[in-house]
Amino acid sequence: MKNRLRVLRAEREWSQADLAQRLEVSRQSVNAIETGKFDPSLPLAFKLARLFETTIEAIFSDENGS
Amino acid sequence: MKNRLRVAYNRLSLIQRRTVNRIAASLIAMGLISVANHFVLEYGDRARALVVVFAALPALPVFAVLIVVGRYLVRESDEFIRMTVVKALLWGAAVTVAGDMVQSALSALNANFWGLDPGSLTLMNFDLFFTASLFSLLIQLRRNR
Repeated sequence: MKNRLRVLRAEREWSQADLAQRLEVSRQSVNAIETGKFDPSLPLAFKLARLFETTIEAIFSDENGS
Repeated sequence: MKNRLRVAYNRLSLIQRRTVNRIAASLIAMGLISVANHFVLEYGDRARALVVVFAALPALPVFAVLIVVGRYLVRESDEFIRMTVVKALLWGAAVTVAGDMVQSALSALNANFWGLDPGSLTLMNFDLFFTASLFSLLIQLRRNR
């Protein structure tokens, strides 16, 4: 799954540690999601969407689909 | 090295620190039981009941660690870390089974391994499992720095 996490984070000038603190997860988790090594669960995806004030679809996209 | 360990320890969450402390206590208990076992079985009274009790004692820290890790996994809120720990435990189990296979082959061949009786290597299963899991965890975390 592709995601725009790095871009959204950069727009707000947040470091991975800043985002991790806001999400209450480890910095490794943020790094793993950004690099596509780990797909977050639905609750975490909703948390990200709420944090960036957008929809889940605006952050994550299926590599095969739209 | 000591400072790096302290820094790494301080970075852990409260529940992670508690888990590390409990695992460390179990490992110390394991070491003490192993030493006591050796002396009792080697030099002490070899009454059958006592032998059975002392032979079963090393299993207690193993169960303790499994319970501690299980409770940690239930309470860990970070799903990525949870997945990483489970992966590390699976690697630990895989290495232990592989080690047992090697030990079985050595036993079948009546081979000595650095002067050790291959059968006694089975006693190190827990250490092997724990060390392999720990290394796997560190490697995975390093890859996601």
